[in-house]
Amino acid sequence: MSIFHLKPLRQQTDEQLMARAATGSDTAFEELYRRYARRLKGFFFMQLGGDEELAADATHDVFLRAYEARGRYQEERRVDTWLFTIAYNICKNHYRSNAYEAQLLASLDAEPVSSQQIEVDLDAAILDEALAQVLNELPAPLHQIFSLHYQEELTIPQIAEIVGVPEGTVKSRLHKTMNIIRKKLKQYENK
Amino acid sequence: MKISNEQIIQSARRQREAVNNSMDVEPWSHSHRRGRGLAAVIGIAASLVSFIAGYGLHANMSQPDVQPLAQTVKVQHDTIMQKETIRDTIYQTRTVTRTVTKHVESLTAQREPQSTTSEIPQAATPAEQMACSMLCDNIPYDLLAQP
Repeated sequence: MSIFHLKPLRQQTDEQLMARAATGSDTAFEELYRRYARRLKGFFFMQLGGDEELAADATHDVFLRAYEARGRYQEERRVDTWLFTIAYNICKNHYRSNAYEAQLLASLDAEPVSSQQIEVDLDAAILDEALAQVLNELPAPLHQIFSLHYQEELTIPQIAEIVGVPEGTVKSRLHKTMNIIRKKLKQYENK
Repeated sequence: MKISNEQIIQSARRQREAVNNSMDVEPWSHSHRRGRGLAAVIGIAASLVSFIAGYGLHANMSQPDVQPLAQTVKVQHDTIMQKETIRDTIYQTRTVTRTVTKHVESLTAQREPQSTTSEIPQAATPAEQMACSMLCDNIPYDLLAQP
């Protein structure tokens, strides 16, 4: 028996909990659900057009898939990366029919990264409202990558693993997404 | 006021916090989520029940305008049996069987011969009995007397 079995569940790391769940502990899996369900539901809510029922279904789907695959979990893998990979794939399947977005990503990746930052002169009071609007209008792949990094606070290597692209591509996409956001925010300057 | 990237990131995080705090999370259950799935199952079940009920009602309604596809009439002893095959839908036919027994029974009863047991002459003495048995190849008189 390893040492983590002696610690209370709440003090164990995600990876320790997942390792316990892999050996059949449902309480360890429930603890993981308690830690991540709200966060994933929020992620889906923002990615899937603000439909709470759809977000709840998708969240349950993530955990159902993780539960079914718990026996195959590799201990060296981070649990948050693993759960967000499942979540990212669910989002991708949701938008599968949108060939426009695949084209957009290809053309975005082909563009050189601009070092020039667009200046936005905006009242801080309306920034939250304007940004929420701008994020909703972003193409799904850009919104996902922005959300994973800046809102879910995942690292560049984690996002590279989730999305399945090199770290450099993640960095350039994040930079270009930020420029698109600034460009769109500019429209709110005089409102 | 000039907006920095850091302000945009902070704003995005505030949005995330607000959304996460407004989310209700159901307790974990590894069975499939009830909700839309349950509604769909109830919908399908309701459709099935209404179809079966409608079909039953349709089958039980008298349909004088519906002509049978086939009809057979059989007479067996005291029963007249009529079989009709009726098409209810394109995919479904049913057989209606009607039997009439009572009327034929009464007719049969009228045609049955009257019992003649009482008219059989009874031998008066043992000698007569013996004589009669001898005449009839030694068949016991008791048997001959039976109708």
